[in-house]
Amino acid sequence: MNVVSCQGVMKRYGRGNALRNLSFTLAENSITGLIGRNGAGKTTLLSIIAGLQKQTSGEVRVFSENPFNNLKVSANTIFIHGNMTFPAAMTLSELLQTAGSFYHNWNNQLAERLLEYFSLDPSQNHNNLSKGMKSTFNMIVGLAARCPLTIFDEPTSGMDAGVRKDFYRALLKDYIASPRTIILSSHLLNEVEDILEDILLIKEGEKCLHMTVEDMKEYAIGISGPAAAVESWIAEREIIHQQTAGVNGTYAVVRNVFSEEGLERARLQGLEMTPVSADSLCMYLTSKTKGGIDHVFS
Amino acid sequence: MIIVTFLIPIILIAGIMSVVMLLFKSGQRRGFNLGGKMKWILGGYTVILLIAAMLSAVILPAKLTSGKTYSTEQIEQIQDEETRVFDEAMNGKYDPGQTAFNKKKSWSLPFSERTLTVSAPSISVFVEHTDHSKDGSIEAVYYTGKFIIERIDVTDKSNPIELSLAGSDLSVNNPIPTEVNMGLFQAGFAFSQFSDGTGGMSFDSEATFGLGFVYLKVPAGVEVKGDVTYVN
Amino acid sequence: MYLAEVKLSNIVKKQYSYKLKSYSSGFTSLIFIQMIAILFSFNGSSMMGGGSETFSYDVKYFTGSMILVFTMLWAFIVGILITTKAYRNDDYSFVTNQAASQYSNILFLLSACAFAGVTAFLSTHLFQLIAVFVLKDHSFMMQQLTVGEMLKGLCASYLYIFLLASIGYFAGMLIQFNRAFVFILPVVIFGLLILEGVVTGESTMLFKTGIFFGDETSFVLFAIKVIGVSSLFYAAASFLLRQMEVKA
Repeated sequence: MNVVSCQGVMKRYGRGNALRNLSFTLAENSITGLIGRNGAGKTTLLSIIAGLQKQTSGEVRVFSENPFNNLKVSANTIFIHGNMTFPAAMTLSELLQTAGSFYHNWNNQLAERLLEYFSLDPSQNHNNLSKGMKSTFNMIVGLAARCPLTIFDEPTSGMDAGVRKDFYRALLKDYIASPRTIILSSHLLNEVEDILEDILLIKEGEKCLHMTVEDMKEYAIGISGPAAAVESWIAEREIIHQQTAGVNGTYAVVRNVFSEEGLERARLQGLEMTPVSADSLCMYLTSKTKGGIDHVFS
Repeated sequence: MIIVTFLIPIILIAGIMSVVMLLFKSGQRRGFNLGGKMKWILGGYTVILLIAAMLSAVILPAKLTSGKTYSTEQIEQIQDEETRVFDEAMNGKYDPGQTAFNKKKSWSLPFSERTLTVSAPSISVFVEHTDHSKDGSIEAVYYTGKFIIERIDVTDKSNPIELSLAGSDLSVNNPIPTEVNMGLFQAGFAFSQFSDGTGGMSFDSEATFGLGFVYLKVPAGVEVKGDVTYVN
Repeated sequence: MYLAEVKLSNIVKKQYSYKLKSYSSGFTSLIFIQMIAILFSFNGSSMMGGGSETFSYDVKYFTGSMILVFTMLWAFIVGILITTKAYRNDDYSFVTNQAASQYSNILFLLSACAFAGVTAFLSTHLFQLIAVFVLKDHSFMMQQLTVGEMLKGLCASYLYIFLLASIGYFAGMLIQFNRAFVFILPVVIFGLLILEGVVTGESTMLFKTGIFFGDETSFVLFAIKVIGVSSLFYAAASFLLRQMEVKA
C-alpha cells in the first residue's frame, strides 16, 4: 500500500513555481530521504503532504485521502520542521503531555527518557531553548508521536555533531521497534545515507531521481584519465558531471550502463573506473551546470 | 471640531490596544514569560476580587447612607402637600397634624416682655398665641420640608436655622451652610439596560429643597412685631 | 499500520484545552486593563452640583461602565491576536484542521469572555469598596438591583464582551487574509464616520449601531441580536480562513 502518492503536483508561489510536475509514491513502512539543495522545494512538498498547504494542480493522496485540511491525515501524520512553534506559556513537560493527548500512539516513556538523555529541563519553556535544543525537542516529539507518517524537515539544523548521531541512531532504533513511513529531508545526504532505504532527489521543484540507496550507489560510475581518452569514451553517453583533474586529465561521471567487458576495455585504455558515492552523485545531479563551481572560474 | 472629538477616543483606544498587544505578545513570544506562575496570578486575582465582592456585600450596606428614595410621582405629591400646608398657613390656617413638614429643632425660651420683635430676613415665621398656662416662655419650632437630591431624601444633612433671643428681639438667622457630597453607585449600562428603573436612580438631575418655617408659640397678651403671619 | 480514526469534536476539545493552557498569558493584560479601568472609574461618570447659599450639593455618579468598556476593548484585541500567525501556527504543531482550529478558537473566546465578564463584575465591587474608603467625605448611595436584574446584567455584560471579541476575531482574520486591511479597516471605518459627520453634520452611524444593541430592553431579543451578529462574523472569518495556508 502506498502511504503517499503524488501525481503531477505543481505549486505556484506568486510568479515562480516551487514544484513542477512532481510524481512519485512512497510505500508503507519505509524511510525515504528527500534530498535537494536549499530552495529545491523540499519544505513546500512536505507541507503539501502534511496538509498544511494546497497544491496548485495535480493530485496528492496521503493514506488515500486528500491531505489538505484533513483531520484524519493530520492525526496520523507528524511534521517536524524548523518553523514549528509551541506556545511560550507552556513548559516542555506540559507540551509533551499535550502531544500525548493528541497522538494516538504517543510513547510517553520514550519521550521522557529522550528528554532526560538530551538533558532538556522539563520545566523549561520552549522559547528559552537554543536553536539546537529546539530541534532536539521537536525531534523527540516527532519520534514519540509514532505517527504512521512521520516527516522530518531538516531535523538536525542547529544540533551539534554528537546529538545528530544520537538522533539518527534513535530514529533507526525506534523505526525498527515500531515501523512506520518516515520522510527525512536534508541537503546533506552523507549524514543520513546509512539509515535511508530510498532516496527522492529533487532539483528546482522537479523530481530528479527516486530509487533505493543501493541502486543509487550503482547508478553512476566515475572515469578518470587523460582528457582525450575520457572524452572519446564518454562521447554519446549520459554525462552527469565532468571536470578537469590534474594537468591533462579529466574526471567524468556517467550513467553506469557498462558491461564487465566494456569496463575491462576501458581499463586497458588507461582509464580508471571508480564508484560514485550516493552523496557525490546527488551533488552532481543537483548542481546548476555540468561543470559545477569550477565552471564559474574557467 | 468633529475631528478632534473623534481623535480623543481614537488615541485612548490606540493607547490601550498597544499596551494589551505588548503584554499579550511579550507573554507569547519573548523572554517575558510567567509560565506556571500564570495559574497563581489568575487564581490570586480571582480570589482577591471574590474577597472584595464579599467584603463589599458585607461592609457597603453599613457604609451607605440609608436614605429613603422616592419615585417622581411621590416627589410631586410631597411638593404638592408642602405647598398646600404652607399656603394654608400663609392664609392663617395651620394644620397641627400635618406631615409634610418635619420638626427639625425646637427651642423653649424664657420670655417676660410684653412685645416680641421678630427679625427673620429669609424665612417665614408663623405665630400662634397660646393661653396663659405657658406664660413666661415662648416656644419655637423649626420645621423643614424635604431635601431631595436624585430622589434620595437628604433632609438629615441640612442644618437647622439659628435662633437667638436678646431682650425682646428674636432674630432668626440662616443655618450654617451645609455641603453635601454624594456618590451614587449606578449600575453599568449592561445592567441598567434591562432594569425598569425602580432601583431609584436613573438620570434625574432634579433636586428639591423643601421650604422651611419657624413656628412660634407665644403666650397670649404678647404683641409680636415684625414680618410674621398669625395662624389659628 | 493501524490508522487512528478521529472525530472532529474530540480534536476540538483537545485543541480547546491546549489553548486554555497556552493563551493564559493573555490574561495578565486583562488584570492590567481592569486595574486601569478601576482607576479611571474614580473620575465619575458625570457630575452635577447646585444648591442655595445655605445648602449646596455635589453628586458624582460612579458606574461599572468604564470597567466593562475596557474589558470589551480587551476582548476585541484578544479576538484579533488569536488570529495572528504566531497563534494560528501553534494549532498546527499538533493535530488540527481549519474547522477544529476555528471551533476551538470560538470556544476559547467564549470562555475567556466569561472569565472577563465575571472579573469585570467583581472589579466593580472592588472599585465600590475602595471608593467608600477613599472618598471619606462622600455619602454613598447605591442603585439596588433585583437578583433578576443582576443576572440579566451579568449575562448582558458577557454578551457585550463576546460581541467585541467576535468583531475582533473577524477583523484579525481580515488582516491575516491581507495585510493591507491593517490600514484599510481603520481608514474605512473612521473615514466613513468623519465623512458622515462632515457631510451631514451629525454622525448617526455609530449611534444607530449603538442603539441597535444598547436600546434593546428585551433581554431575549438582545441575546438573539448579539449571537446572530457574532455568528455572522464567525461565518465570514471561517470563509477567510479557508483561503489561507499554513507556512512551514
